[in-house]
Amino acid sequence: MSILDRFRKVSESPTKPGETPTQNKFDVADLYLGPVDTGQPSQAPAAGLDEKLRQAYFWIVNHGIISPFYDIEYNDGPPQTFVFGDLKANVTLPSDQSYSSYVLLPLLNLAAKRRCLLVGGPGRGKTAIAMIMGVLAGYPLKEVKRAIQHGQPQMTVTDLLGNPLPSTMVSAKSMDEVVIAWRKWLGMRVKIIDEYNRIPTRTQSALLTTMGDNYAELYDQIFECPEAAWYLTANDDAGGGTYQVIEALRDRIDVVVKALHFNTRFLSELLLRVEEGIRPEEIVPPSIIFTDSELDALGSRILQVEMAPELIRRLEFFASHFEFFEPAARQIEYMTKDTAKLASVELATLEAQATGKDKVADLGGQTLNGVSVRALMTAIIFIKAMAFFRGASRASFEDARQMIPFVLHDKLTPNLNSPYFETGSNSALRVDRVSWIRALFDDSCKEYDRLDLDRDDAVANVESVFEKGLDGVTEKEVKAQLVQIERTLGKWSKSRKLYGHMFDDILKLKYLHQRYSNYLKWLQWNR
Amino acid sequence: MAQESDPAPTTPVSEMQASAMQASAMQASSPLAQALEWGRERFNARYEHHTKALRRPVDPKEFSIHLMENMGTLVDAVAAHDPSSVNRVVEELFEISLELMSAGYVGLHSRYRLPEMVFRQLLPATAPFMAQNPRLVAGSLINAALAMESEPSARPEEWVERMKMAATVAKTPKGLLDAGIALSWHCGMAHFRSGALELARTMPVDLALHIFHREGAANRNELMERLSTKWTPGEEDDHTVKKTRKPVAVIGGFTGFGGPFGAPPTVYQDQDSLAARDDIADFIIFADRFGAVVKRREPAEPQSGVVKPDKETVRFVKSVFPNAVGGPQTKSWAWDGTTLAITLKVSHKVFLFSLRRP
Repeated sequence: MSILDRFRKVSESPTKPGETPTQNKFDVADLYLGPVDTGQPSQAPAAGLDEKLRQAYFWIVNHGIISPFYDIEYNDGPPQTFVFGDLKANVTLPSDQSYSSYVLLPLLNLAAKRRCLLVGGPGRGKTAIAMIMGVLAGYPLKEVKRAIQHGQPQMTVTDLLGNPLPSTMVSAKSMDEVVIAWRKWLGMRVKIIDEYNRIPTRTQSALLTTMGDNYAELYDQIFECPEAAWYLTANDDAGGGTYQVIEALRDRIDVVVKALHFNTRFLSELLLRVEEGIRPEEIVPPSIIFTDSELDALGSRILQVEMAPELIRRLEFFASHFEFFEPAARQIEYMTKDTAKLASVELATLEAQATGKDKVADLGGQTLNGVSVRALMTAIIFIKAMAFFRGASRASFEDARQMIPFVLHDKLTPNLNSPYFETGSNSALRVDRVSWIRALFDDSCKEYDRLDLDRDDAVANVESVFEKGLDGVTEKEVKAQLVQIERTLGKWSKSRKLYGHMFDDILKLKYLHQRYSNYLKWLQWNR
Repeated sequence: MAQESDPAPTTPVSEMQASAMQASAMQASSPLAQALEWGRERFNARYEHHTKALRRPVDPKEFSIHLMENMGTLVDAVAAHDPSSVNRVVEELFEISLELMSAGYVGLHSRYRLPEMVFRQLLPATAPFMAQNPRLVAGSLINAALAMESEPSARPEEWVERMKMAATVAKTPKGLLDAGIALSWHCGMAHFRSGALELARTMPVDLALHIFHREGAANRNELMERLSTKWTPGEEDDHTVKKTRKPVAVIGGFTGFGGPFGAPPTVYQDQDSLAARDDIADFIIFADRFGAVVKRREPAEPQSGVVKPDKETVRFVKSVFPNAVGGPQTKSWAWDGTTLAITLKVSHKVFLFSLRRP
């Protein structure tokens, strides 16, 4: 086998033994799925797309990017753990197939067609992995390279989007008649913006429209972009670069991945590549390149992955900790960090009021903001994508635990004044956001288990009755529900401090109380 | 002809044309040969792209044989129906053929029979629909045939024959494809039962009565009533017959021999379905008088949907199958009200019996 053949070798199926693509539902449309593309949007080949995705992953980690890091850990039995150093660093040997976030996340981003920010020092392969994603999407390498938008301080909106044709600029009687030569990259399904934090602010706004709303606008002309996977790179995640990145643009980024350092033990591998002149993006095996219909099918297959109600409930509970901020208002609906932010008041100023809560245990105290709807939607998509990648039709708790840190990386801002970061070895979590967010999720789940919410969830009980509908519900039943809500609120008001997860529960109960009260009034009027 | 002045054939299409001309003068002037001549450069570029850029090798001679032998009748039929659509149909079929041949689904050494049968027999019968949307119709029908060929209990040849008849009544490509799904169930794809029944209920009534003419129904209500009967009424419903009772289907088998089970399975009822489990995975069992299929699925929530038989059920099943409950060879049994599944300690098969409540 030649060196080149060795680098082109794709892992044999099954890449995840014991996990074959399975289905719980049998859709009649599956009859027409197979090796021939029928031109239908939901078309997917018979061969498992998850298997192809895994083969692409293993090719990249084995031959493409040297990334010997397994920071996304899965275990199907007790893993072996070793402790090193005075700071008690844990090293876990995972017992199930585990992954390198630096390769996996960009690949999931390609499958889910979202927006991925690759951060890390120069020369760590950020642009290389983005280019490999372009090649995996079926574009020739030359086209991918030409389509990369290199951020630089002089970059104008027309540099980014396109130019009006000079002849039409002269002859046009209205803006409609100006013909724009749109840049080719706008029509591609993989978009790469290199060093996005070097783009001037005005041009960033144009980029925001393209990234956020999937169209480009110039001289009143609109270019509708296809659904695409975006890859942005930056040397500095903390707002460095030539220009400050506008907040809205940062908010559009769905997932943040760090390019880890080069492991010097792999220098001989690097030497081989230098000597043989091998560039991974030039030798991507054709069998792992996705067609357009496969990319479309990947997106729809990911969305078909189920989320168990128990997992959704845990996500709800996790997200509920952060927005609540008791000192921000007198009326409960406004007790949010957003209220303080809109008033331009530092949380620390208001925090001085004693609320009697344990500031270390209160998870909400660790952040300066809450989790947005967009971030939650993105989290759900990446959790599903992770489950799909592992060949499962239902997302697991571990899928959520592994994906949330990367999705919320730039979405949750740590409150560095929180006493939590002073305790034990938590000071490292001030800078290690992935571990911090994972710890937040773990602590949230511990609290969820302590409250025994899987079995005793007062709000879920009331909600399940309400979801059956109000049609035919008698006055007596409505009154019983109202009493149930009032009793729950009464009990909570006596026995607990007010924490973030209770905030959403109280508001939900208030909402249900209002719905039942209105219905009761109607029943009494209709009597 | 333009070919006569061309240099010696060095590209696939010129090779095909040369072969076609040698084979018969008729073929050289056939709609297929004309279409190949019309798009010669484009077809050759596609072949080059497919074999070189995508690195999916296709032997040009084998490919030309496929085009001549499998596509000629179809293109003739399309030309007779709508000559203006011939070039478009050939373009799509050329592309589809490249995909199929490079993946080994057609060709001299292919182990698949059905794609060629679809090309030669079914697609010519669907010429009006091919003229409308060749990619959708040809792609779907070939995919369906391949799916049926890989399902042990399916009868794809019967499906092809019945689809040819369906094509005479269907009015649109969608109608034809809906008929294809419904008929696939009738030809052994038991897991499509509920979806096929829904299609039978909503498709045009003349099409439904035509494709299911074997049911002998006069109107839709009668048809739906007959289709929804899982097992043929007869001896199996006579609960007094005990010793002579034979299974209506035997499914499963050991993985070493191509079956789904790594160990003798255990059957159970999960909600409305019959299910099975071996040491590794869970499966759903689909069975009716048209076929029986076992499909792997994600493990259910731990025993969440499992229905345990009540005393009355146990008494009834035991009265009809005395050895099924507690018999020395029986590993497990489950009954969903119409079908009884039994597994044995020494077998990887699942034995299915028709058994309705009296």
